[in-house]
Amino acid sequence: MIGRYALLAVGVSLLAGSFPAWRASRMPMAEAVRYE
Amino acid sequence: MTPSRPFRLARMLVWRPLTRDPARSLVTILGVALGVAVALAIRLANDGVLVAFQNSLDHVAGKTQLEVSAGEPGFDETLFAIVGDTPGVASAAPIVEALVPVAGATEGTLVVLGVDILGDTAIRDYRGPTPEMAEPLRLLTDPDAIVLTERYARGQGIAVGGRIVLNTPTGPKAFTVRGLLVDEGVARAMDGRLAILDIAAAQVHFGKLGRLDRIDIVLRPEADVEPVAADLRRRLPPEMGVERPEARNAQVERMLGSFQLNLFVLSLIALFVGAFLVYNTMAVSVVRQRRQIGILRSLGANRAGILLVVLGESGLIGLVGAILGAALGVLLAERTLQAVSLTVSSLYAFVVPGELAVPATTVLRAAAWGLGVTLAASLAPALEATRVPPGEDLAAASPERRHRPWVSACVGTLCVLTAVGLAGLGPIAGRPIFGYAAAFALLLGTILLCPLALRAFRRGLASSLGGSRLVAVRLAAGNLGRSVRRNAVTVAAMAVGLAMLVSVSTMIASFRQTVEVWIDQTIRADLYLARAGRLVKGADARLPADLLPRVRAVQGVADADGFRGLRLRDEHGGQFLLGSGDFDLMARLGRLLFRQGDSRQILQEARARGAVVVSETFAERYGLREGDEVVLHPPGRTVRMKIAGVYYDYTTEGGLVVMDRRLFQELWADPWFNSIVIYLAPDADSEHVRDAVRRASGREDLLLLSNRDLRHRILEIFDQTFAITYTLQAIALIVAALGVLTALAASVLERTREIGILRSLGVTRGGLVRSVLAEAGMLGILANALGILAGLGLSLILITASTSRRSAGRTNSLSRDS
Repeated sequence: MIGRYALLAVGVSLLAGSFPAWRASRMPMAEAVRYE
Repeated sequence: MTPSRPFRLARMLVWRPLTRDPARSLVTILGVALGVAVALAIRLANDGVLVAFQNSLDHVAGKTQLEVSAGEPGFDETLFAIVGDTPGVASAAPIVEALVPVAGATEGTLVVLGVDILGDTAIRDYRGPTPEMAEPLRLLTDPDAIVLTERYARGQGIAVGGRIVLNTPTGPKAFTVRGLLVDEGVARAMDGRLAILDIAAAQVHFGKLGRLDRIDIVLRPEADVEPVAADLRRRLPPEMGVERPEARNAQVERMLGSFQLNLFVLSLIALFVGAFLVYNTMAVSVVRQRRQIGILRSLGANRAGILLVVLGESGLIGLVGAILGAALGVLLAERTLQAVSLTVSSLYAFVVPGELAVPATTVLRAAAWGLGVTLAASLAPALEATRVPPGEDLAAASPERRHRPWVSACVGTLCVLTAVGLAGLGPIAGRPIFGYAAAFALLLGTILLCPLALRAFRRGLASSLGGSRLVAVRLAAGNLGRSVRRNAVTVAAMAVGLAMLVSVSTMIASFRQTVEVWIDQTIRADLYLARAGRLVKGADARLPADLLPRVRAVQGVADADGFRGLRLRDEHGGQFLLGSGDFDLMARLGRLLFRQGDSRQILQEARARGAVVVSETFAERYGLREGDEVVLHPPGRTVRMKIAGVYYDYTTEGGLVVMDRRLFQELWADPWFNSIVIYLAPDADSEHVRDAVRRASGREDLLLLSNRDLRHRILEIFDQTFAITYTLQAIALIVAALGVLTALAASVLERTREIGILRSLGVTRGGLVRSVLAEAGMLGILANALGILAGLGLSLILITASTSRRSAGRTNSLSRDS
C-alpha cells in the first residue's frame, strides 16, 4: 500500500512538472551571452 | 492625490504581478478554491444530515412536550392508562412506529406511524387534499387502509385507491391508499417517506399486539414539564424512559459527533495544503518585485504600505479563490450530502436528506476562512518584503541568504517531541483533542524539518552524481539547492498531503485487517438468513420465531440458530444492543473472539450460570470488565447479570450484551429473530439447501447469504464507509501537486536566460524536459520519504491516543446482529 502511495506521489509530481518542463523546452535560445 | 491615483497604484502593485504570470495565479486560485470547496461541502453535508434528523423528529413530535418509551421492545399498552391519569397530562397519544421496507419500490423504506387517528390530531398536524382525509373513520373501519404523503405517492405514481405492499415481519402485506397528506406538519418528516395507519391495524400487521412503542404527551397549560416527567418516572416501570423530544436530537448529535468531526478535520487538510501553495506563490512574487519594492521604499513608501501592497495581492488571490470555492462547494454539497447520508444510514440510523439548505452564514464563513488562510500564509513573504531596504537593486535569490535551516530543524525536532508527549494523553469528553494536537505538532515538525532534509538530500545527490554523465539529472540536482526555501515549502506541502494519506490509509487498512481476522474467526455458519430490508439501520427486519423449526427441518441442514437483537436504552439516555442466541450451539459450532479465555468454555459457563457476554465496545463505554455486573431492565424488573467474557465485535455502534436464548425468553418473552444462521450437513449442497429453505419459509422478502457472500458484503460496507475519506485525501494531494507545478514554473521562469544559454550550448529540448522532470521527480521522492515517515508516525500517534477505532467510525455489518 505504501509503495503504491510512493508511486502515486512521484507520478503526481512528474505530472505536475510536465507543464513547466514543456514551458522550459519552448524557451528561445540565447542569441548573445552577456556576462554581468 | 486624485481619486484615480490610489487605484492606479493598486493596479500597478497588486494587479500587475498577478497578471504577469496568469497560469501561476490561476493555479494558486484553484488551490484555494479546492480547499474552500471541500471544507464547505463537508460542512453543509454534515449540517444537512443533522437538520434532516432534527426536522424529521420535530415534524413527528408535533406539539409533544414529553415522550414515554422503552426502546425497541416497546411496552404493554395497559401502561397508557397510567400515563393518561397522571396529573398535568392534557392529552396522550399512543404510537406504534416502524421503519418498513416497501416491496418493489425504488425508495425502499417508509416510516410507518400507527396512531389513534381521532386523538392524535391534538398532537400532530394532519392536512390532506383528498376528501377521504376529512373522514378519518375510514382508517378505523378498514384495517388495510393506509395514508401516504402526497409527495411520496406522486414520486411512486400511486393514487388514492391504489395499493402499496409493505414487507411486514409476518410477510408482504398489501394496503389500500385511503388518503394523501399535503406537504405540511407530520407529512414533512423523512422528506415525505412516511405512512399513517390506525394503531390497531399497525399492532396486528407489525406483530405488536397489545404493545406500544411510544406515548406522546401534551401537558396542561399550567403544568411544568420537569415535575410531570418526574411523576411519570415514579409511576412507570424502570425500563421506561420519560424525556423531552429534544433529547432525541441531542442523542443523534452525540452519536454522529465523532464521525462528523473526523470528516470535517479531514476536509480542512486540502485548505491547509493550499496554504503552502499561497506561501510559495507570494514568496516568488516578493522575490521578483524586490527591485520595485526597493524603489518604492526610496520614493517614501513605508513598511506598512509595502505590507499592505503584498497582502493586497494575496488578498485578491484569496478573495477570488474563496468566491470560486464557495460556489464549487455549494455545487459539491448536494452529492456529498447523499454520500454522507448513505454512510450514516448504514452505520448509525436511517436518514433521508431533504433539500440541501445553504445558509449564507455558512458559505460566508467558509469563504472568510479561505481568505484568512490565504492572508495568513502570505504574511511571512509580506514581512520579508517590508525588510527590503530602500534602493535595493538586487535580483532574485536574496531571501535565500537569510535562510537558517538549522534553526527551523531544531524547532521542528521540538515539535516532533511535543507530538510524542501529547499522544500519550487521553481524550477529553470522548473527543481526541490531544490526539489532534499531537498530529498537528508532528505535521508542523515535518514541515520545519523539510529545509534541512532538502539540503541533505541535495548534497547526497551531488556527491553521488559527481562525474556522472547524466547531465539533465545533475542540472536538476543543482537547481534543487538554488531556492531551498521555495522547494522546501513545495516538499512540505506534498509531504503533509502524503502523511495524511498514509496515516489514514494505514489506520483504515489495519482496522480492515482486524475486521478480516474477526470475520474469519466468527463467521462460521454456511448460510445466513435475514430480511431483505436489513441493510438499512433501524429497519424493522424481524422474522417470526416459528421460522426456525421449519428451517431446521429442511433436509441438508445440520443445525440452525436464531439471533435476536433489541435496541435498549441505558440510564443516561444512550442506546446499546441486547442480543440473544443459543449459547450451546454457539459453543459447539460457532465462535466469538474473546479478549481472554476460550470461546467454548466461556459460552457454556455463561449458559449454565445465567451470565452474559459483552462486546469490547460495551465494556469500554461503561467501564466494565470480566466478572463485573451489568444492570438490565426486562419488562417490569431490574436484573443484575455477571459478565462471563468480553469479546471483539465490529458490528454494533454503542456496544452489545449477549445472553443465552432461554434466559432472554424468560426475561423478555420476545417471539422474533433478526437473523438465522444455518450450518449444513457435511454432504449437503449449499444451493439446494438455499432453495429448500426459501420454499420452507414461504416468503419472497428473504435474503439468504452464503458464508462467502456475507464476508464480501461486510467488507463492501466497510469500504463504502471510508470511500469519502479517500476522496478528501486525493483532493489534498491534487492541491499539493499544484504546488509542485507553481514552484517549478517559477524556477523555469527565473532561469529564462540560463535556459537560453543551455540551449545555445547544445542542450536539446528533450534534455531540458528531462531536467525539469528530474527536478519534479526529486521533489516527489523527498516528499515521499518525509511524508511516509510522518504518516507512519501519525498513525502511531493516533493509535496511541486510542482514537483509531473510537473516532474513525464503526463498521456495520450484516453479521450476527442483522
